[in-house]
Amino acid sequence: MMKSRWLRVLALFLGLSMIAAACGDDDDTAGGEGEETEETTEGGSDEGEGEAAAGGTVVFANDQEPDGWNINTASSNLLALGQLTEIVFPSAFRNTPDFEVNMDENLLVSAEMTSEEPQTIEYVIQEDAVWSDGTPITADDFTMMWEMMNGSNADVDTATTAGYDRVESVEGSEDGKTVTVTFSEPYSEWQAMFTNILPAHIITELGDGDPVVGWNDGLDGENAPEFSAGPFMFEDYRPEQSVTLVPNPEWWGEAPKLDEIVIRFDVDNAGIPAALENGEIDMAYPQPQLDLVDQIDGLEGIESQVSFGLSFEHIDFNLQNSHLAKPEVRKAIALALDREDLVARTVGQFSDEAEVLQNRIWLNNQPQYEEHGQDYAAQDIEAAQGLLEEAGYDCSSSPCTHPEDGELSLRITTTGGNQLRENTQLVIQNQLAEAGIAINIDNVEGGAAFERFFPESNLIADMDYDIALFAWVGTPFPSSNKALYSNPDPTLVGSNNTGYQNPAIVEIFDQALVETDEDAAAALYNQADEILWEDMPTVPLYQKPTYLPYRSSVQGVEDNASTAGPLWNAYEWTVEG
Amino acid sequence: MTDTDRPDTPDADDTTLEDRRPVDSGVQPSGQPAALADTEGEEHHDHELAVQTRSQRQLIVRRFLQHRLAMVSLFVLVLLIIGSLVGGSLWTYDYAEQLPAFNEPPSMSHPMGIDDIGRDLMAKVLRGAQRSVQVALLVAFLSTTVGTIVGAIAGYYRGIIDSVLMRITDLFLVIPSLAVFLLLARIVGGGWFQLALIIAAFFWMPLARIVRAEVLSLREKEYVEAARALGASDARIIVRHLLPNAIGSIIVNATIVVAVAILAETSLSYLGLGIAAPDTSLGLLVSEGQAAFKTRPHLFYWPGFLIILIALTVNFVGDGLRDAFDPRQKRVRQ
Amino acid sequence: MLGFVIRRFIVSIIVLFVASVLIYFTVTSFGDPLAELRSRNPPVPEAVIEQRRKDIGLDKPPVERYLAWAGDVVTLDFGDDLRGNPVNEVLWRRLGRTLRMVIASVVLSLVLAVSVGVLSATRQYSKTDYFFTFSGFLFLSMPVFWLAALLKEFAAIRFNNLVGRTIIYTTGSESPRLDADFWGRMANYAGHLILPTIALALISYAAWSRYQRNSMLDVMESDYVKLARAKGAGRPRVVFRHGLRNALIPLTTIVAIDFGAVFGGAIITEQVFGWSAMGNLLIEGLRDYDVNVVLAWMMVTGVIVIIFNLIADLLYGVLDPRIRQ
Repeated sequence: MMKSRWLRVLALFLGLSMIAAACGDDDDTAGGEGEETEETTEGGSDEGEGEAAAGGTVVFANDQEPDGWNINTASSNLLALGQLTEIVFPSAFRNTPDFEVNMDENLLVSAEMTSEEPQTIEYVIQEDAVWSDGTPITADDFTMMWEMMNGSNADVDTATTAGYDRVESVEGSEDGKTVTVTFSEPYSEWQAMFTNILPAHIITELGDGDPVVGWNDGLDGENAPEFSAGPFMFEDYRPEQSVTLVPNPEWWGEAPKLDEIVIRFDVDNAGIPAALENGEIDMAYPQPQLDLVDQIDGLEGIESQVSFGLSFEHIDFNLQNSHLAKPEVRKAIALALDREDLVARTVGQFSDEAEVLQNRIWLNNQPQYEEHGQDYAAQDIEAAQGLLEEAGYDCSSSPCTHPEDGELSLRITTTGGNQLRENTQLVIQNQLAEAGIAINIDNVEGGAAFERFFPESNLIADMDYDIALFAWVGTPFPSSNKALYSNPDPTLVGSNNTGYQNPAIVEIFDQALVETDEDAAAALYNQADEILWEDMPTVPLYQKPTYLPYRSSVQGVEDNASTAGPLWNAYEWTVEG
Repeated sequence: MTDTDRPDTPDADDTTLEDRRPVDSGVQPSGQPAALADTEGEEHHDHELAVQTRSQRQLIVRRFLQHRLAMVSLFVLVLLIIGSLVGGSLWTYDYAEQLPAFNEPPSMSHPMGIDDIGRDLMAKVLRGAQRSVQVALLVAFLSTTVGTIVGAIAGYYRGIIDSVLMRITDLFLVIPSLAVFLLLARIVGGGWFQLALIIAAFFWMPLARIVRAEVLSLREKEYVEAARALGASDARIIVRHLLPNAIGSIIVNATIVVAVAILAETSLSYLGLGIAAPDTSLGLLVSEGQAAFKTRPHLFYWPGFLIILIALTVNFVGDGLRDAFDPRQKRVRQ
Repeated sequence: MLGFVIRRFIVSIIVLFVASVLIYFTVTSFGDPLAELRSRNPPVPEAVIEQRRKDIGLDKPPVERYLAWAGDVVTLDFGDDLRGNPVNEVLWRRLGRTLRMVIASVVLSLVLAVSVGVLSATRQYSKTDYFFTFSGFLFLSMPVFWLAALLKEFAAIRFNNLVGRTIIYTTGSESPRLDADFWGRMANYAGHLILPTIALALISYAAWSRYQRNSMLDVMESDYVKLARAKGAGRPRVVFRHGLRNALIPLTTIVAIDFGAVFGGAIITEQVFGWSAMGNLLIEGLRDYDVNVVLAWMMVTGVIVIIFNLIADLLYGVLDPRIRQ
């Protein structure tokens, strides 16, 4: 009697779990490499000295699943996707770990400015360069990119129009292997253009003959690209679970040695150490946090690299706030901050090379970096209070008070839930309190924070914050900074969340954009930064580190903290047994 | 089942199973299901005269005192609560103070070490305990009050008022509370008071149903009629004659809510929506301590132990109370 | 009885819709899903942001959008999420995974609860009873993710090291690129299910075991059990034959009611173990202010909770032990 009861219960459970399992996995797509993969495996058999074995699998944890695969659209333009397309889609120029920008020699023979007036760039595509279906890469692909991204068609979802909106024409010759791009106005950052090029013929096909449809929706959601012109190509996309990169058979450059790289979405950041230890993943790229770093570094068989990326943390002042409208107050805040101590207590914990960032446009490890904030480098409470008193504040009690504007009490807002940011706020609060500046921490979750800085109405008057703390992602092409510090319409925000207006800055940025001499342009940007230090609409804090733990059996890994990401040289990787 | 196990409700259509479960709390946000429900219908409604009530109370107290586990737990719990509320101010360091040194291991002057921006961890733990206890107590108080009032009014007046109130109760029950916490917490922000309000908003329903069931069953009794005939106001009848019979359920439910509230706050903090910086709570400490699990285990274990200890002792006390209020408490000899 | 249940069902569905109105307006008024686009560098062109706004339908007034949504929902179409993917696909896929976890843990919880409950009842006030009471309460008082961290380390990693193979997994609902025959897949699912199921079950069984214990105690006191014993039936036989069956009945109703609670607990558990399932869906939807996703989630879980509550009512009405004998 009892036995039959338990048997029935067991049968019920199995039945239910089968049903649930079947429901849960409808898209069991074919094409995988056979058995489940857990740890890295060794493929080849020869192991001569210095010769790494071929084959192997690397499982890379990335909890940001792409929500669309056309990285050139605004909706899908995610850093996490860019790190994958780096080795799938062709680009004219690439970023190295040293933040240098080099022409991609696999794709191009040459890319030169053949004329300055009008600015004309001539790209010569390699003869061998083909898409994975055998179609050669030609000017048609460049042309499509220009047509989509120049802003002429309002229906096209594009991530940016920078540069393309200055192009007069794109012409192909020599069977399409030579591309001549003529600009209507000069554009110094032309090297940033034509990254993640897509195949015109396939995009058109995906849109049933309409390239706009193909561009907007063809690579949407579950439609992972089946084409490639890089060392790897996408395969076996299992939504919410994983996508795999396998070697592209039509790749004409240095062939990858791995069998596959599996990008895994179903790992929670806090679960990375356990997953690494248990062999369920081989690499991850989490936001560094002291305990996480310590814990992972303590694991056997795991190595890690810390580098400094193109993102930097900064605080922005809402110039509509009556206190912050006064430059003395802003400078006082900069003086009251001890940014060295701040760095030591935050990012300095994972890397001895962490430094204070003294430039808003160039970052510490970029060659063009110049320190402009030395006057504000050390904490000087007396000078800070002096400035406040000059502005009419009475600092005999804390917080300082102004006869008209009241107590010097400001909110600092950032995206909640990020421990590093919260720690930064706490340290700032503590430091500013010494100068009589009261700070209230007022965080909001995720997207809601951005709404305070960039309100839906786009009106400056609707911005709802005093001091904002977040990060900008830098690039080796700083012309986009202009939008951060200006707006042709002084009532609108755009990307200028401080509301700062200074015609001198606009002039310099415009000049730099057309300055084709790189050094001259860099100098102009530095000039702009110097002006920004005088006016202090923002204060840069520190460059954000990246943290790359990986299994030591994976050889050849080198972090690339630019937008290229850690997979940039995956074609060189091998797996030791 | 030997006892009458459903309350004498005039319109049975309106009661559901939840009404017949006297001491439970329905859907719990942290996923802990109804703690320790009694068997259904343990309402013992036969003490009608004031004289009996008093000796009943003595019985109850005596039974509770005999329950050793509950007594020990009560003692520990009181210590914990007092310690949490007061400990922070007695300790040498303030939790918000940023010392010149940072990221130090435990030492004599800093028994739990110093965190990465220079705050004394012992101070943080004490502060966290204080906040968590404050939130839990406030939640218990609010939800008990609201639940009792709503239940009493619904049960006493019946009719439209009852229907409306019960539909509102249903509304709260149908939406998984954790989901609404998540939504509201983002809007309302991380202050501990607001957090307690939100959590309490989802814990009052079970008690409302219980009280309502009690009131419904008792309002027809003769002594209520008598009181009404003597001119007693509705409020007086409710408070003096009807509610005291539900005291058992109310108290037990309140203690359970304390335990579940602590865990609810912990879950919310784990998701980043509980108490927020610069303040701290045990839940926040534990979720921050996860990453330190192997490197600085004391950061993970100590707040966790405190949470467990508080919830555990509260649960035992609640269990003891329930046993004390249960009239069928007798040893079953085999 | 049936009439009562149907009425209750209809009322509950109405209540659910009222809830949906509240939730809809709360989500839409408190979050602009496109705010994040402006924080990008290089900046997204205004025209594109405006176009996205139109595509998603954000340019229409909330009332109009709600009515459109409600109309679609009646046909079980939950609309598209912010990225343009149909919510239905994502929802059912994830629901399947969550159900795996919830059902497995409910079953395990039941097994534990019944065993512990019966043992406690038959040995009331003994050391065994106190031990089970204590351990049950202990697990009940633990935060899920705290327990999960301990399980990952001690139950999974050390066990795997001991055995030399990866049997217990700590993350995900299945291994990536799983491509095996039916039994292979089952085994893989099971390996990923172990930890979350244990975590959820340990935390929920305690309440049910107390319930079971109490109802067993009641049953053992009951007349018909006494009668059976008087007739000379041995104790185990009496306990299991008559007592258990009857004592199980109230437990099933409790389980039905608490199903919603287990669902809620699964939210955290899924997050901790990295499962891409319902819990994660809700959290992402809330973070992105993705109204269609949040509402679809609420409706589905709301309906599940309602259905289970009604099953409980039905069970109770039908299986009332006063009627049975």
